[in-house]
Amino acid sequence: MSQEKICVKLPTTDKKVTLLKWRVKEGTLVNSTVVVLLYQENGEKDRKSFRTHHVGVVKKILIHEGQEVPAGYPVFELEPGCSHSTVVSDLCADCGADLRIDNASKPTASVSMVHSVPDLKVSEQSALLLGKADEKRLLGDKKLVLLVDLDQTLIHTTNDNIPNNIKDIHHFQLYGPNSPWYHTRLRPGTYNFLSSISELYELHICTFGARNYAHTITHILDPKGKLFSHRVLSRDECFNPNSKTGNLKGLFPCGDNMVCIIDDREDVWDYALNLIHVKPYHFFQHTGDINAPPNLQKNVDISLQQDNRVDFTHLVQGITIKKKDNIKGDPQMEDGEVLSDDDSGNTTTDNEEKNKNDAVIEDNSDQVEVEEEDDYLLYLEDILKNLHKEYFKEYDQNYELYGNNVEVPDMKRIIPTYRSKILAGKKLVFSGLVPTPVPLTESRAYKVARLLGAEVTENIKPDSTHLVAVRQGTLKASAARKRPDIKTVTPEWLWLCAERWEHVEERLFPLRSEGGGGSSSRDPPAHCSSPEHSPHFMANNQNISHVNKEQDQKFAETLNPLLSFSDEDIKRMAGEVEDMTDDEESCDGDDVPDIIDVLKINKDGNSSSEASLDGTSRGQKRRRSSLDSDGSEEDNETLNEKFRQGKNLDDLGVEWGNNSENSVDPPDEMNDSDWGNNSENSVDPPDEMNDSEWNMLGAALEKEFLENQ
Amino acid sequence: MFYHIALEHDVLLHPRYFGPQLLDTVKQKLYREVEGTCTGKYGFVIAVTHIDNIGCGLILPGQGFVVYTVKYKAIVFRPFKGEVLEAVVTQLNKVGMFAEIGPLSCFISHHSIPSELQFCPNTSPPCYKSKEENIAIQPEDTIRLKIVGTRVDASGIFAIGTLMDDYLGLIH
Repeated sequence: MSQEKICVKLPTTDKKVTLLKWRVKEGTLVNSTVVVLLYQENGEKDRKSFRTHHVGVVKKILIHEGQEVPAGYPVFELEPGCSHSTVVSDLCADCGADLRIDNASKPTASVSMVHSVPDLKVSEQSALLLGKADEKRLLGDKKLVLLVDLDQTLIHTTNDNIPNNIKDIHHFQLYGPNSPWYHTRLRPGTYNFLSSISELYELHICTFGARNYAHTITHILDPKGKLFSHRVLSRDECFNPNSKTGNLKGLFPCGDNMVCIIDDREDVWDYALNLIHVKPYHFFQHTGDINAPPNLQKNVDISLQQDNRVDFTHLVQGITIKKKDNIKGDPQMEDGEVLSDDDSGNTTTDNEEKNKNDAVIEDNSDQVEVEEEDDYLLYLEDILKNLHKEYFKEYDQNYELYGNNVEVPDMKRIIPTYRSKILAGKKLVFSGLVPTPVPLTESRAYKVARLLGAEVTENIKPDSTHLVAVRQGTLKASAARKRPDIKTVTPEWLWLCAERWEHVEERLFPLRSEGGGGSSSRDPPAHCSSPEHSPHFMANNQNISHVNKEQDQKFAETLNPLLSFSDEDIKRMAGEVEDMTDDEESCDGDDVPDIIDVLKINKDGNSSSEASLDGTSRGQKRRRSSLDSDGSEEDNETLNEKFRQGKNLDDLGVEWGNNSENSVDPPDEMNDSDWGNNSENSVDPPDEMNDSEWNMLGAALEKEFLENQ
Repeated sequence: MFYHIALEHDVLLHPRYFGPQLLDTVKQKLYREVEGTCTGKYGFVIAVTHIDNIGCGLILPGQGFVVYTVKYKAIVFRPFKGEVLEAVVTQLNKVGMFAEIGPLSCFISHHSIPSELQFCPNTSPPCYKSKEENIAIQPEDTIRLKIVGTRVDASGIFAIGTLMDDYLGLIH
């Protein structure tokens, strides 16, 4: 590509010429369209512009402005050839050459730097330059980068039947009039969160949703394009369907030192240290993350997921009977993760389906407002603000020391350090939390506590500060009662500290007597920690050097893995795909015991989903009320809550179906308190299991049956 | 560049249209099938101006479909290297900007944007602006650009432009 330099001369004339002005600098790429310089023939008035017919980079300028040039004397050196450092769909954006033509030189562009246009690629050098410029600008503005996940972090979307009279749910179709409906609920406080956090962070969206979906949601979140602009990375632009880290190196070629990530799952980020694992947002029951990557099912325990979610199947049923044309749902429910009970689908007859499209526009008058207690974003905002403060405190310190060549602090170090200060100096003792065969240091609770900076000892020591106990009456619990300086709390205290990244008041989690003991969960909720995370922290230094090493690898290889695959690799990958498709059936069989296990757990523990829904779960309720008392929501029983507790919804201004109608099958969970009285005529045996569990049991049985065949 | 040229197109018609409105249907179908399409050779067909001749319909044996060879004149838009055009900016980013010249989309690399214009991502929407802030190129703005290269496929054209020449850039 790089040949000998060419000395470019001005067009030969008899006279001397004066060089008036250079229009290019050394290093600029010139082609036949670029005016290189302006000159004037001696004795003439008009300025002439000079272009070269060569394509190449200006290497050296030989004549200065204002200098006279003897005829035939070279004015600059040019290195011919274009490195094709910016390429858009096989077309070099610098010289306009079509790179599909065989004799064209190979482009150096390999980094896709723009979220929404993966076709647009730039070379490593330009990427580094652009990245550096970005970094400088961010530091100048005192901003960091925040990668925001959508599903279950800021929003929750379902394909289930959702009545359209519920406030604050956005309904949309993506693929034309007959495609499935999507119903999206924003997490409470999303708008406030985004607008206040956008002053400190440059926001990027990183989602596994399809491009269409991602942009629709972005428009809902940010109708004016002020927060995210075009910085939306969707599944269509992801290199790897199961991981979001692949694109990071392209978007941030100078490294992700200033990048902070919020996501509800860590695995897609390879448990990155700069990730804040947020509490997943669940609003619609039966629906997980509709855009979860294939083959990567989330293993969050089900009881936890369901206790905060709203089951709209009841709403759907109630309204289908009374107000037929209020329903707007999709008949073709997507299978897969959507575990909807089919009853609601069946009650919607063909007749109603015709009305659905008309119903979209009409009445917003009597909307049901469903409130939730999810105030996680407030805490997340605090966490992010504090991290921002920590980051720039360190940056400013470094800046004073080293001046302009300051190395930017690394978010991957700031975040773990910040987190380890939360419970620093606290000395915890666990009681009944770690199963006997598991060594203390291997338990998840231990790792959570260590992540937060607390020390954990096997037994009560003179300097112990907290006892985290599952139930009263253990040896350690009674010992701690004699020590007024030791605060005895339930494990929820620790989980809440890990969730909110702050030292939660211990008095909210007093250890009660035996009764509610079973409700305490021994395992931290999945979003508090993951076992894989802790080794990173334990071997912190080692890990950082590992990260550095990774960056030292050949840049192109780390950027786009597809570039560095040999033929052999690709063959092997193809083989793997075949293997996987062969294996699929046996995999299905393996799932069955898991489901049964889950069911068992649900039945054993008091915290199972239906218990929390019908309001009989004392353990759950106690926790919730204790949570409320620290916030401002005291006694603020929302419609949702009343609804969950099975109160008469007539009182709440919701018009329900005529309860005496025989065809109404009140949902199983609702048969205590008022509901039961109202629906005297309906025959409905009290049943502990709710529909989803029946469905799951059914699915498990079906699978077993199929397997035996 | 725009051309007014004579073109030919085969319209395939289902037998159910056989009737008094037959030729009208052929014309309608021609408009529908031809306008807005792009061929590598002639570029984008903007509008059919005149139908010269609708050939005699040939019924395909075994199917009943009829084929009319229609000769028509149309205005076509074919971009060429070196052509100067006016375009509407659609998207700006640190690598460059995308602009649309009617149906043709075009990319201008930041190397081809005069260096006095700097990308400024903090404004909403982001823009390229000069230090004195008297020139700012934003989405929806009209710019004059010069095409430095085109990629012509059988079914589409994509162009690369530049602003590095006299009188190119923002049009006030």
